[in-house]
Amino acid sequence: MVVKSIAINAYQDAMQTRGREIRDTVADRLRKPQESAGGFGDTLKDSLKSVNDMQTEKRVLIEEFASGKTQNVHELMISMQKAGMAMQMTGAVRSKIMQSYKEIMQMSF
Amino acid sequence: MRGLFERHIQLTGKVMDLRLQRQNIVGGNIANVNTPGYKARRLEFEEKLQSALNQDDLGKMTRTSEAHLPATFSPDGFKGEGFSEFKGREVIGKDSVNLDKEMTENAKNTMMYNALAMVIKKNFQGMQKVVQEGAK
Repeated sequence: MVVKSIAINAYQDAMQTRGREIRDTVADRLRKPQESAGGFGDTLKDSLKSVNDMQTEKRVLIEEFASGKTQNVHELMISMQKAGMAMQMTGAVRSKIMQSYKEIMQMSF
Repeated sequence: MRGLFERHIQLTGKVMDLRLQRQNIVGGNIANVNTPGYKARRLEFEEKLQSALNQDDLGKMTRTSEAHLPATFSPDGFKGEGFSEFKGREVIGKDSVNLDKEMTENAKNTMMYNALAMVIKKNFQGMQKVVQEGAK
């Protein structure tokens, strides 16, 4: 009886270990590769690029509207508003960055 | 070289000029609605402007080298084309001006002019904002 229960315990332990191994493997496979967070500079560069893209889109839409190629006023207005908003945001972020830079410069070590 | 004012600002101004001219021509047509033998005049510039701006499918090219011939549009030399509609037969006492057509043209032109005025106003406001923000 005692011998049997020890055998069963050993068997159950082995099963649990094996089950854990399988679970770990599955979880490893399912885990998505962690995206690198990217530096502050990269984020800034990407944002500036998208702001610039919006400005380009706005310019193309204005030219097409002025020359009568498209008669689409609302799209023009939306893209102008978007570009303006992005530009304003860029300005705000820029002044915050400059402010923090100045603060760091004034720190005494 | 890019100056302070981009091309689309000049272009908007030029198109507003042309729309003003069109307004004058349509006004002249309406004023002459009772003149015998008067032929309605038109101002067309859209198609020529589109090809001048390389917006038609044929003209969509990109410059890959600085040495290539620049296709940049300068709004200074651009002109609209005014012409009178062909009219074969002249009926004395009847006008050739279609008043409904002229009124529609007038309304459309006014709306486009207002939209362009708003566009150029917003452009300048945006630039002003950027300049003010940058100075802070």
